[in-house]
Order: sequence, then structure tokens, then C-alpha cells
Amino acid sequence: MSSERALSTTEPLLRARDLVASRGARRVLDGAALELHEGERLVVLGENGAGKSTLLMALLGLLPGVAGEVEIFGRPCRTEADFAPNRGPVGLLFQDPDDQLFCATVAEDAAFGPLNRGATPEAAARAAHAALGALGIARLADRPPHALSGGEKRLAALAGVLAMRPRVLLLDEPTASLEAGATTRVLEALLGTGLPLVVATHDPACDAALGTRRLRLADGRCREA
Amino acid sequence: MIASGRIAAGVALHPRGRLAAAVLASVGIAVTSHRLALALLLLAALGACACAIVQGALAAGTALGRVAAVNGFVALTALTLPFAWTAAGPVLDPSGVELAWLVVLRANAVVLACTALLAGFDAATLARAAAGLRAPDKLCRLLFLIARYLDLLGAERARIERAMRARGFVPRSDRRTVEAYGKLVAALLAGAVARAERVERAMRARGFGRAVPAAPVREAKAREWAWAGGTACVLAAAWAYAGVG
Amino acid sequence: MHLAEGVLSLPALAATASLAVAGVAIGLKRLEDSRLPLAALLGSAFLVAGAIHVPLGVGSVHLLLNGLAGLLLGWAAFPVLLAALLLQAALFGFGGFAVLGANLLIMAVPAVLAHYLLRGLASDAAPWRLRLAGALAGVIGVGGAGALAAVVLTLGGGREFAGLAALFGAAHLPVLALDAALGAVAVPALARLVPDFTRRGTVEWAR
Repeated sequence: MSSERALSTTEPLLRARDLVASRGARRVLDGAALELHEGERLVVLGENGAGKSTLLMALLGLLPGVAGEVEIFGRPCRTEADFAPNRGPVGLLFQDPDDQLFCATVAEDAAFGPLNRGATPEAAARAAHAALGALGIARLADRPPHALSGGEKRLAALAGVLAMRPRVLLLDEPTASLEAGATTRVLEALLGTGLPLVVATHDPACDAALGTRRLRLADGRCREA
Repeated sequence: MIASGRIAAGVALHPRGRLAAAVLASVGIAVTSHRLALALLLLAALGACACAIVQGALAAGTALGRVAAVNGFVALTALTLPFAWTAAGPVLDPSGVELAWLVVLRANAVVLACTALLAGFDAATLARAAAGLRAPDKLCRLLFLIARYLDLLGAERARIERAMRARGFVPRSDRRTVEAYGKLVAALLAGAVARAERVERAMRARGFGRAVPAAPVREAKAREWAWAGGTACVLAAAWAYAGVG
Repeated sequence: MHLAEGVLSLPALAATASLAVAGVAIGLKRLEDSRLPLAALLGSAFLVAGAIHVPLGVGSVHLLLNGLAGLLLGWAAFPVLLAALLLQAALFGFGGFAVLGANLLIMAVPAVLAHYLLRGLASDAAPWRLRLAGALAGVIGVGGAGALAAVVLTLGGGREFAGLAALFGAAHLPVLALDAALGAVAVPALARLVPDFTRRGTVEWAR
């Protein structure tokens, strides 16, 4: 599998060039580009509606009608078949955890990804519980997602991503609408994974805690910030 | 842009007249059992669609898609009707052949007529039109609420499905897919229940009952009925020309 | 799963439309104002869910879910499914307005039937009973719709329609299997997501 292939230190984990995406008549992305290398935590800054979510979705091929080049782990991805095996090795945390948490319990939801990757129900349950334990929320396993607080929902959604053993994380506003204590817990959990990541945010606390490099997304393009 | 704006304004001005015309056309065509009259009505409906497409009120692709969808069922009908099944196998049945003709003509005439008459309708317009035709109040409020939340829940479904794909979900013909979609349906319903509770609370907070808006119904102006009148004229003309009755 | 305009005779159209009007009237009478938002939101959700396509062979099958809708809505299934069919007729050109009554009966009668046959089963918290209720909702809903469509076609179209009725019934089989399998997952999941769902998530069970 391409994702198991040893990477040279110079080859980026993710590379995107000339991304163009429209929402209605407006160009949300207009030639956006980025690279993520091993050991980096890249912060993408930008106003609400600047296209940060669109950029992250485009990196995983989740939006129809996006033009441009995407390479994941050194492999160019153009078709659904190219992107599909990378969904998991590249984990995406959605802005609204309610979009992601759709199962009846937190543990069931965390097992969803591993099951999609062909894990047996037992192995998927183990992976789910391991991810919940690593985030310190094993006690939430049997709770229905709607009964969780904002911070707990975010961590539960993150567990669903981590259960797939990703090598890279894409995070869409991981601290949006959380109070200070929950923000700290989520940021600690993200740092604790030790994974390279791209985080789209306009929260200064998130930027300060995570970022090793910064891009600013404006007018559909990324600039070093 | 200007043209489509004008068309949209036209729909907004005359939704009930257009809905009445579409219902009239449906019923009128459905009860016609004369091949020549049906052929004329089909031509008229085709002409109406062509006009709507030329004026920019209707996308040609939309019209074609609808005709294709209807003809799936119609093809099935046209292939089965002409044969009577006897112990010796299928036998060509003249009355079945005649019926098959009628079905093909009626189904296509109705879909074309309704597509032309209701061009530019959306869910909210339909609700307004039904209210304008004095459909029962509770039914109208139901239509308004369904129209109000349809896009919202559709977007929610699209977001959940995208999040599922982001975690490696690929729909196939297998048990896994049925389980995932079963949970998706449950999540949609649970979200609907939770939202309904919030809506009901908000209604009560504002004094309950009439807070679910059914748009005020104005007295109809004569020109609003032009669509229905025109449709009636076309039906009458086709029947008269074909010598029905 | 809709009958196209043009297959039914005038008496059949009139008879099905009258029965459908009666069903809608009963449904509206029993639908309390305070339950209107729930009925509407469930209607929207079922419309949205019905657009889900599951791949099957070279094509795909979409869900009907009328049995599940009936289980939750009871008699309100009549007005809610009428609203859904009106939207489909007006916005997507499925079926016409003359055949609307027949199409509503085909969908809503099995829905109400599913409600009365399964509400006892689904009121029980035992997961296997909820699974069974969900599966049977699919069987009753789709099986009933297929059977009713066949009956309406042969009674209302004429003897020439026997072949079509058989084909139409057979075409319902994959949908039946899918709706039943999906209902068996969805009902227990819904019961866990909405605690006390027979009171909060249904339109008239509390009576």
C-alpha cells in the first residue's frame, strides 16, 4: 500500500496546488496551495467563510467540482478511487461534531471508521475503546452523543478519527464554541497524539498552542503568515 | 438573470392559478380516452414546455429528465399491456394494445403539462399555492413546515454522509452499508425529533397555535386564473376537435 | 414506486381519490396542533431519507420507508405522505395530480396498518423486539404498497393490467428487503438516540 511506503524526509505528506472551488457565484478557493511535512503542525488562519473548511474537504476529495492537484503521501489523487484509501490514514475532524457523531453511542461511532476499513467487529471495538481511553473519555463509551457537552462531543469525534490510526490529522476549527477548560483539554489531546496536522482556525489560543508554521487564507489563496 | 428574475416574480404572483391549472390538466388528460384528443393535448403540452424553455423558465435537462423518469414505468406498461396471458403463453390482445397507446399518450401529456405549468416552483411556492386554493388550514401549515425544513435536513444529511466518507465509508451492496444507512436514518429522525421539540417550544413561547405561519390568503384577482382558464380552453378545444362526446 | 398518470380508469380515480380524502381528513382531525411541528419534521426527514440510494447490481435502490413513517406518525401518515407526494409531483414530476389519491392510498394504508400492528412491539424496550418491529415495518410498508398497487392496477385499470401488476409487485421485492433490513437497524438506534421515543418521537401514541 502506498501509505506504508517509506517517505524521504523531503517529500511532503500532503501537497495541494492550484485548488479552485466555487460556492454559488463566488470563488472560495482560487489557486490555493499548501504543503505539510513530517513533524509540522500547520495553522491555516482566515476569517469565517474564507474557505478553510472547503480547503480541508478538498484535501480529502470530499467536495465535488474542485479543480487542482492533490498529492497524499507522495501519490497524486484525482479520482474517488485515489482518495478513498487515504480516508483514515488522513483523519479529518469536522467543524460540527454533530455531523460526525451519527451513531447511537459514542463507542459505536468510534468503531465506524475501523469497520469501514474492513476491521472485524471485535477489532473495531478494541480500536474504539483504545482511542476513547487515550483521550481520557472511556467513561463516555455508552452515552448517546446528543447527551454530551460541547467539549465531550469534540473529543468523541476526535476518538472516531484516531480509532483509524491516522498518520496525519486535518482539523476544522477544533476549539470553536468551547469554553476555556474544554479548549485546553482538546488542545492537549491534539498535542498528545504527536501527529503532524493541518488546523484551520481563527482562535488565537489554538494557533498559539499548536502552530509550528502559519498560512493565511484570503481571497481564495494561501500566503505565509 | 433579468429574465429568470421576471419568471420567478411571475411564479410568485400566480402560484395558485398555476397549481389549479396543473391539477386541471392532470385530471382532464387522465379522463380522456380518445387517441386523437390525447395526441393533440400531448402536442399542446410539448408546445407549453418549449415556450417555458425558450423563455428561460425551465431547463431543457429538467424536462427531459422528468419525461425519462415517467417513461420507465410507461415502458413497463406498454410492454406488458398488449399481451393476454393464457395457458398457451402470451397472446396479442387488441384491447390491450389500445390501452397501451392511451397510457403512453396520457402519461407523457400529463408530465409535460405539469412540468410547463409548474416551472420554477419550489417547496415554499407549492405551500403558498395550496393555501391560495383554500386547502385545509392544518394541511397548509404542515406543507409550510415541511417546505421550511426540507433544505435544512437535506443539508444535514449531506454533511453526515460527507463525514461518513471522510472515515472511509463507501456504499456497497452489503450488510455494512445497510447498517450505516440505518444509523444515518435514525440520526436524521432523532435530529428531527429534537428540532420539533425546539420549534414547538418556540411556538408556545409566542402564544402557540397560529404561530405556525400559513401565509395570509388574498382575494384572487381575475388574471391569476388566466393559467387555469387557458388550460381549460386547451382541453375543450382538443375534445371538440377530436369530436369527443 | 408511483403509478404514472394514465393507467387508471375514471371510476378508479374517483374511488381512490375519495378514500384518500377520507384518510387525510381522519389524519388531520387526529393531528393535534402541538404535534404539527413533529409531524412536519418527521415528514421532512423521511423525504430526505427516501433520497438515499443503496447500490444494487448495476443500478441502485432507494428507500420507501412508508412503514417506518406510519409506525411513528399513525393516522398523520395520510396528510404527511400527501404533502410529500404533492412536493414530489410538483417539484420532480413524479406522478400527476389525478392519480395522487391512488398513490397516497398505496403508501399510506400500509403505513397506518404498520402503526396499529407494531406499536405494541415497538413500545417494548427489549432490543430484539425493536429490531423485529423495524424489520416488520419494512415488510408491511413495502409489501403492503406493492400488493395494494397490484390490486389498484387490476381493479382500476382492467384485466389487461395483470401482467404489469405482477411485474410491479416483483419490482418491490428488493425495496422490501432493503427497507426491512434498514428498519431493523434504525428503530433500535432511534430508541437509543431519543429516550422515551414512543412519547417524544411519535405523533399520537401518547393517547
